Amino acid sequence: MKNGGQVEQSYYFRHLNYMLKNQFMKIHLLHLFILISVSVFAAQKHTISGTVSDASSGESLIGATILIDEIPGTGASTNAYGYFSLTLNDSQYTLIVSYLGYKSIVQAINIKENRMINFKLEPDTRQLDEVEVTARRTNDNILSTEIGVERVQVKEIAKVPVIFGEADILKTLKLTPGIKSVGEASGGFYVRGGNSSQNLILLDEATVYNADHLLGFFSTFNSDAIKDIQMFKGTAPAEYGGRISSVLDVKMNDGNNQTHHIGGGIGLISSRLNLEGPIVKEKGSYLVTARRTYADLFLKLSPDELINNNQLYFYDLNLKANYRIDERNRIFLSGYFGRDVFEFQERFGLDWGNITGTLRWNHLWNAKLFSNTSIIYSNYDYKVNILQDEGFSLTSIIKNWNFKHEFQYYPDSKNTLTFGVNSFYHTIIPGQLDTTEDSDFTPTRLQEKFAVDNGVYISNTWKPTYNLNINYGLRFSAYHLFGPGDFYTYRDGAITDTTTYAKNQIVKSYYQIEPRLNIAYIFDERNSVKASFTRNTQNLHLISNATSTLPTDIWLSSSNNVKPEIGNQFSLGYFTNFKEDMYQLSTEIYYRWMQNQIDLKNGADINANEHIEGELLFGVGRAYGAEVLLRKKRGKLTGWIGYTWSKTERLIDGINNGNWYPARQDITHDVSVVGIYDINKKWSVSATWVYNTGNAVTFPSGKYLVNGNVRYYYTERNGYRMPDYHRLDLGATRILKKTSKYESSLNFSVYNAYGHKNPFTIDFEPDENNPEVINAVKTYLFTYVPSITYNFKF
Amino acid sequence: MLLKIKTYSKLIILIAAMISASCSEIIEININDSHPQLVVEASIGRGEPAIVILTRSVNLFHTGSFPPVSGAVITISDIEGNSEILSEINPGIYTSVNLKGESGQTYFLNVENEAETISSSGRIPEHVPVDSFRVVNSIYPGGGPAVLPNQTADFYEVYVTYTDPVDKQNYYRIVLTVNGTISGNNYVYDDRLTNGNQVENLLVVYNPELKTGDSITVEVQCISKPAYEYFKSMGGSSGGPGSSSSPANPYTNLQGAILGFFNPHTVERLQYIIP
Repeated sequence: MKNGGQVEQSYYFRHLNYMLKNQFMKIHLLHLFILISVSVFAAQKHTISGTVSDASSGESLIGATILIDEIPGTGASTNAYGYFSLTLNDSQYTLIVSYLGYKSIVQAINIKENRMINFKLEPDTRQLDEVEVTARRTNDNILSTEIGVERVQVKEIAKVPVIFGEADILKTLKLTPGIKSVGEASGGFYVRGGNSSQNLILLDEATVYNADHLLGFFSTFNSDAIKDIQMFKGTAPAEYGGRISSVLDVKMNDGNNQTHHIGGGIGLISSRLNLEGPIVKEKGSYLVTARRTYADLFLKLSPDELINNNQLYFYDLNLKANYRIDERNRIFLSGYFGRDVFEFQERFGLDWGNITGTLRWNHLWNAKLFSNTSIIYSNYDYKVNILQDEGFSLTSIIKNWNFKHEFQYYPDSKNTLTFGVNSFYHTIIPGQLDTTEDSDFTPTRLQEKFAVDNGVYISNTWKPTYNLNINYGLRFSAYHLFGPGDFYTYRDGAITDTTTYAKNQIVKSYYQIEPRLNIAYIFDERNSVKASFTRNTQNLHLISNATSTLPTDIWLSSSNNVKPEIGNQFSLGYFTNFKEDMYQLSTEIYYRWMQNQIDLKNGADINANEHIEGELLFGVGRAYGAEVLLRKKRGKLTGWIGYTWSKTERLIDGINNGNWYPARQDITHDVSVVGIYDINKKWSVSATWVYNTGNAVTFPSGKYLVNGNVRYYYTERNGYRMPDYHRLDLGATRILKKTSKYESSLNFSVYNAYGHKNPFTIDFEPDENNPEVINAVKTYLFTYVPSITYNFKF
Repeated sequence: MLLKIKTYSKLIILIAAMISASCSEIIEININDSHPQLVVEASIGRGEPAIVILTRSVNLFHTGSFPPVSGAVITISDIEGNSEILSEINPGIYTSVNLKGESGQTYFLNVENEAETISSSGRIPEHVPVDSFRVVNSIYPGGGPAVLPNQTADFYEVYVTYTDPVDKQNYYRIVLTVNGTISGNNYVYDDRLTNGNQVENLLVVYNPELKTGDSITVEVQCISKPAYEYFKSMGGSSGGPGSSSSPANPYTNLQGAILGFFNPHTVERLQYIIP
């Protein structure tokens, strides 16, 4: 092995140069890593590996921990498919397998050969306050390298009150520090000063381009279908790339592989239904969840033709199936289909939606090497229909195919390597104008854009000593924009040059290296300090001419005119737990700077505009802040208090006379309080309260006359503030029946319980009676919104 | 068309407001004082004298009139060396007497007022004649029967049709005047999506108070690209910061001032009297 190993190594080194020039170098590099590792480690070690799953449903558990009682600080946690691998010196050990909300398994094991064990954890049905503390590990937040990561438990969000009574992961995430809502009627969110389009939103690895339903009152994520949610505000691991602000990784349930179940919920404006069960017991399962709103049915009740002649609804469907072929191979197929339909007076229609599909193959090469291969498809499109006699329709599509091949290698108990390749093929159809025969408009099809984005990444989680835990990684990406078509060069909005490219000819390439680093220094079981640095790049840019995101915003590729957006972030945090891990306190500070940020000229047309790149303005951004989060994890009362202080600024050539100005999402103070109180086995109540400084907005400072009409004079961009926002929501859940076979509950909630009139917009209008007087007019959307939802499962 | 999409985007917001039963109220808000800016409204129409109106901006919550600026020295000249100093016919209103606009001619504007010097230049394009002009009175824009009792036809759909020349980039502006009041909307069009087509533009007037004998007039102008950019970018600046993009002052084609424009244009006026 030794000699063979050396020969092999030099063979690889000799070929490395050649490989580096080659797109396929990645896979060989990986072999190299494996090889070095294999030859370094001595014998007398063996590997214990396997999966951890829920005993009642068979759902694999993500992030379950396997601890060695005899060696403090040594252990493993399960990956996204519930798999773990742990290599130890031959000896007798006690394993503790645990996951929040489940009974831990304590098992003695004698390691003298490689073993595969699949652990099945029983859900813990006891009341939270009865749970013993000792067997549960709740200090992951201290020991892991993770900083700037928010996790939301699906069970937890079910009790948090939200508008229209529909549990929603995005809405609950916005209650944590550093994540801010774009606005009341918007599903978008800002993370640490980034724009909402700079968030990478993934559903089973597939990009979700628009996470809004019904103008943002709902998100595309049906919580019945969701297993795990992770939000990276800071440094996301190297396997993620493509957006500069944050990563929201949502993973769907696999479906129960033990027994068939039907569940659902009936609410005031929407209903849900889900089915799950085994395809072959223990081996495979399926999951189908569906949702539909019926708000428009209420519109029909109105006698007013202006209201009742409209359509406004959405539906979505999550599908998933998986099958374990044998101990080493498992396949998954998942899909999402969602569509919003809006039609106004049979004159105007707008519909939009996402489609995603993911086919995955898990393969276990050996006890230490796990791989997942995915073929992923994402599509987002919208269609605007003008249905009058001179009608036309405008369609815009963005889609991608993505091939991802990822390995996890567990050489020993101190290292976990993740590496892989990732290749995207993007197609953007920016606008296609179809017209009726007697329309004035010329049918137009804007030039389609094709791009390939190849990424190679490697990262390692290294635990050299008990006190130190380091995750470091590198992502290399090569982005190519392809012809065919005419590509223009602009200066000050005017075309200075036109070049015609043939099919498959490269128009522009960008190469980027993105380092990622997380370091945790662990003082003891209860205290740690962490630091991280990340650099991310973004080659797809969302262009919006509204301050809130609209379904009709368009995506642009990096090009000869548009450079990749670059985001860099440094963060530092202190984490401490006290009262036996009942309380977790984290404090983080961050500084982020962003290059090649994009804004739009005043009055620019973004739809069906061949020369949109000539309407763009470019600049830089910076953001910094501090976040404090105190969580109470156990007891009758659970919840958290979060506070953020932050500053976000932009410097864009051509805006605000070239001076720094506050970005819209520059929200100085942000407070959220979430409390859930379990009164008894039947009743639980909850409350959330949010407060934040108003968004930065541009108000006029003067007025003047043009053609006899009053116009407003603006002195600076975003120099004013909306009034402060605050709101209290209350909720209560009554369990009607709970047996092993059947569960039902009623959920009551009141949104904005003290009816504060939070402004949605502030407009300046001449007074009706005296046009010389200007009034500031506030529009607010919601005062009290009560709702009731009936949930069931059998 | 794009104006239409924007309008409908606003409708979405309206629908959002409808489902959530939104309300409006007047609030008090603190606004900073602003330095009074010189506002220049300058234009020269084909076959017409140059007209320049000078005023100053005031603070947002100021309740008086807008102060005119008198005593400025305003010169208009063309590329052939013809030049004229405008006479002030009313306080702040200046016109030329001899010099009149011609298509294809480039004009230079110069305004001297105390320490301020403002200049601009622009060319009057060729005129594109209007093919047809008609006004349709309706209950709903686009037609449709009344659904509620006592619904009256309060909408006036103004159709203006012209044939866009195929060989040029053209920019149009329609000034809509209802009973002597100029509409605050900026109706400007380019031929990006309609090049060489016969184009019918629809301007919707909602006015329940119009009666027999009242008038709706349109002035169709062919304008320069910088003037088009000015009026187009002004579209966003009269509204509030709500759903529209961050408002800002329109892109002026003046040098030395930030508010106002110089618009060399052609003129075709059409009138409809309500029967």
